[in-house]
Amino acid sequence: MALIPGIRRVFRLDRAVRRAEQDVDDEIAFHFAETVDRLVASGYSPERARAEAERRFGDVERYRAELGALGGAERRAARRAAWWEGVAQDLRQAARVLRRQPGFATAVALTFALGIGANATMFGLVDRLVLRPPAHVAAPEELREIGQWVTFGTDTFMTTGASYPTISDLRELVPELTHIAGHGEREMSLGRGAGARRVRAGIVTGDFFALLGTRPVIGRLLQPADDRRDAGDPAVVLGHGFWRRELGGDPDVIGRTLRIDRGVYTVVGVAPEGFTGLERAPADVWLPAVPVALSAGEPGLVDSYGWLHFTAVGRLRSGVAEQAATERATMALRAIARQPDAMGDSTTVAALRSVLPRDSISESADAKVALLLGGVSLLVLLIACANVANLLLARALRRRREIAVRLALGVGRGRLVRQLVAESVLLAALGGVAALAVVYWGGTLLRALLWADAAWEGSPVDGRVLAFTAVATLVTGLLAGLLPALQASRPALSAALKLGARDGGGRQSRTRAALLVTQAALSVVLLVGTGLFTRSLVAVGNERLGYDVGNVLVGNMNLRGVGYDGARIEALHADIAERVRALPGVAGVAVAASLPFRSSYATYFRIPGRDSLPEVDDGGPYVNAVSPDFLATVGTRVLRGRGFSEADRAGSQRVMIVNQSMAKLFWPDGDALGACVKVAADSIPCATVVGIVENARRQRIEENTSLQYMVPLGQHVSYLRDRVLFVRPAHGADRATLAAAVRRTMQTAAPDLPFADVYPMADLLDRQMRPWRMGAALFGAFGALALVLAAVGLYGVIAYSVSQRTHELGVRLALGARQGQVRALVLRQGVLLAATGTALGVALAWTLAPRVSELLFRTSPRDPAVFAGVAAMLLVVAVAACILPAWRASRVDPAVALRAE
Amino acid sequence: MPDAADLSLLQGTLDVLVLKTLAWGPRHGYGVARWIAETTGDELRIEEGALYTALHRMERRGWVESEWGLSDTGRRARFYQLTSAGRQQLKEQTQRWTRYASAVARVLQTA
Repeated sequence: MALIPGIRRVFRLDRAVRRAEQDVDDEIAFHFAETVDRLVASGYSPERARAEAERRFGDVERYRAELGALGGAERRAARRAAWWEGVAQDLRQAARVLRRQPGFATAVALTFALGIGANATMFGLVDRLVLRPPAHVAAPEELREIGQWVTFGTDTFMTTGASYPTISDLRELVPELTHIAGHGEREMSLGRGAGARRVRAGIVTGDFFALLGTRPVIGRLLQPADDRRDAGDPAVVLGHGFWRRELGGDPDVIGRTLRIDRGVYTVVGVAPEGFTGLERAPADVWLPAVPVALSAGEPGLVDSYGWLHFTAVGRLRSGVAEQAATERATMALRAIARQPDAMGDSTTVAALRSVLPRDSISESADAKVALLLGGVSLLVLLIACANVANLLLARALRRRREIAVRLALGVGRGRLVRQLVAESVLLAALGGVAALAVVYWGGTLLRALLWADAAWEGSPVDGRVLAFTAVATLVTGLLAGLLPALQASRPALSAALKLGARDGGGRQSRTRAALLVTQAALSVVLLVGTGLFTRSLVAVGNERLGYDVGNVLVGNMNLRGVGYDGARIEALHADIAERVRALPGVAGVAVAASLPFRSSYATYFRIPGRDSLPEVDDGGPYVNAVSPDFLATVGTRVLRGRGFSEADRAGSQRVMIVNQSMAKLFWPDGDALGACVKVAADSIPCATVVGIVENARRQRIEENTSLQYMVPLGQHVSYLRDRVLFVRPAHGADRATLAAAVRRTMQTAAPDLPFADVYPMADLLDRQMRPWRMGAALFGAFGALALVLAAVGLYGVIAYSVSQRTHELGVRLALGARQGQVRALVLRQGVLLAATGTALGVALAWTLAPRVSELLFRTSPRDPAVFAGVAAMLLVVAVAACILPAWRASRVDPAVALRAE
Repeated sequence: MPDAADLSLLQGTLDVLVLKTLAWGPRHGYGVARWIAETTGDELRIEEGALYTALHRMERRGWVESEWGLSDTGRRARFYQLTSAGRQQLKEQTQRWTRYASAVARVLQTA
């Protein structure tokens, strides 16, 4: 047997290691025995010989101790070497065994790869969203955001909006926090005209970088001297990614000027790689607050107590109790509240919050979702482990005889367990390597599909993820292999060695059945989640939102940031609309004042002859000013009456269009058409309702009863200053090229225009769609995975059971059972297991489903169709998994089966 | 009894003596002691315990390896033999010792 040399070596090393101390004594005893013999032979008496031998040897006790110590160290080294040698041997052995069973090895390695890969991917996500402290920030655990507690109805939560003057005041009034600074974010336009680009700017107070303790990679970072009115050339610090991308990583970048919105800034330094301030995504540039306020013509940004654009952050002084700081901040905020426009009053209570993401999980929806998914993926990994454990157990039982012989030859049980576990660890290692591919693709996919709006830096596979994968691989291998190894190595010798032994006992098959039932139950839970989220997605897709979001392009430009006033904005957009209409591939162009899902306005509204109007929770009614072809361009249906035309302009009879909810609510029995309404002011002649349109969404996908009305652009109320462009592409036109063309047109319609954001209207819904998309996609992926694993597991269990029952089945067939009956027997066993698991899973899902009801759309959490569908799917899969073993069972040759045992 | 000064000198030389002894073939500790005693004509007084310390230390360093066996007197004894690393050590230490000895001799001969 190939095992024997290995066993012999095991014996020798074990013995040497155990008897080291005894050996030292034996060696010395031998020496004395020989010496005494020789001395006696040369004439000494035995006692004098002994004494002489001792004299020649030296201090026996001392040498004994020395040798013992040497031996001890040697023993430890030998033991360690033996252990490592043993492990290497076990792994080599495992490799040899597995090579002989490539199918089994591949199946298990693949299972591990998927389970470990899914977990590592989720870990990468959770790590970025929750675990990682902000990069390049000294002692981030000392930093505190300063906010206030606000009570709204029954909820109390913390707001962090603070104004620039408030932050300056806090700096003086709260000595417990050093370097109190503020930071905020803003999207601004870099450059003008055709080459204008969007940048994400971090607007900070002068001591922000001193607060964080960050060191620049080139040049210097912003200082308090930059944040003053007399600052000279306004400074800008570049983000590392931006510097690489836009300026090619040029080391001579100091002194270059950048035109950002209405200001010109000089580059003074570059931030280190990975630095994102205290946000999750990195800013492209960092600007000091005062110069930004001055160049934008918005002095209120740094003067007014009411402009809450910043988040205040401070560093807790060492030795100061958080309680003391909070109390002082409370007193400070109450004092500040006396200023005009300041938020709060004499009852304000300050709130201090850590900036570490892991301390503010409850506030971040993304973090919560990521953690939930992490839990789900862990579940799937456990299923995978259970599956593999089942397979290994079945395999170990087949090797009963071999194991029994090894035990009989004296291989310690621990050693045997280690050998068996080595196989599973090796498989896990193979799976772990493959898992890295899963992480890379999975991570990339996740970022692109579901979190495209956050800026991710670095590969999905980084050092921390690698470390996690290594640990997960080891743990998984041990976990999956330990139970089967312990079970299989139990010294039930006599039973195993006897030929014709039956299945290893009810205990093992009960464990396996239990594992299988658990797998099935967990699969059901995941698949129910999939079903619910998919139904929500489908419901959203089928929903008539009132706009043709799939087709229409939106064009948006921040003209007030570059100094345009209302009249100029209006005129410019009229011009742009003409130019865009002339582009190839454009079927319709419209301009409107408000952007669905983003902005809406309300103004004075009165129906003459009525004292009061019914009110709705949503508020309103909301007004929009639109160009004549707006309805046709965005796809809102006119139900009665007409839409606007060129004839409806400034000076002609005032008209308006209302939506269906409004018509029903304000004119329940009468006809809305023809009614005259006072809009914007009583002094303006009333506007006649000429059309009723279908309801369109104002802010959220879930609502459908928003009261909205429209007036023509030419007759608009003067404070609706912003304009948005809507473009309907012609049938078959390429939307991407058209979007680029529209952007170019917008940015070059006049000299010095800023960046224009042109995107499909559907993007406005992305953030709202994310929970359903994510739920459907990830639950689906995990659910499918779990189902596959459960199916494979069921196949394994049934196949094994059939192989054990060959004798019994042979007897049945010999006694006249039909093949169909035997097949039914096997199928029934499998289906029973699956059904138990399904029932358990359905019960579990039924209990848990209401927890996600707020995440669903027009779908009941206990939707019977979903539950029934999942149960049916599981049973079908169970039958499919059992068909092959059942067929094999019915083909058993009774003669062969009866003879074999 | 060799006094302390002699012993420290001996430690370095003890190793090379033992190595050389084992170059003639595997021996047990007692055998090494006898061989050295006979070859040096009992001139060198070595504390036999030190010999065993040397042997064990050299085994730790990988210069010798040991195995239990039966002596020719029928007793269970621990036999030591040189490893290839030990052979290398022997060569190096012999060279060093020879150079040292001849250098000292040259100085003494000038007198």
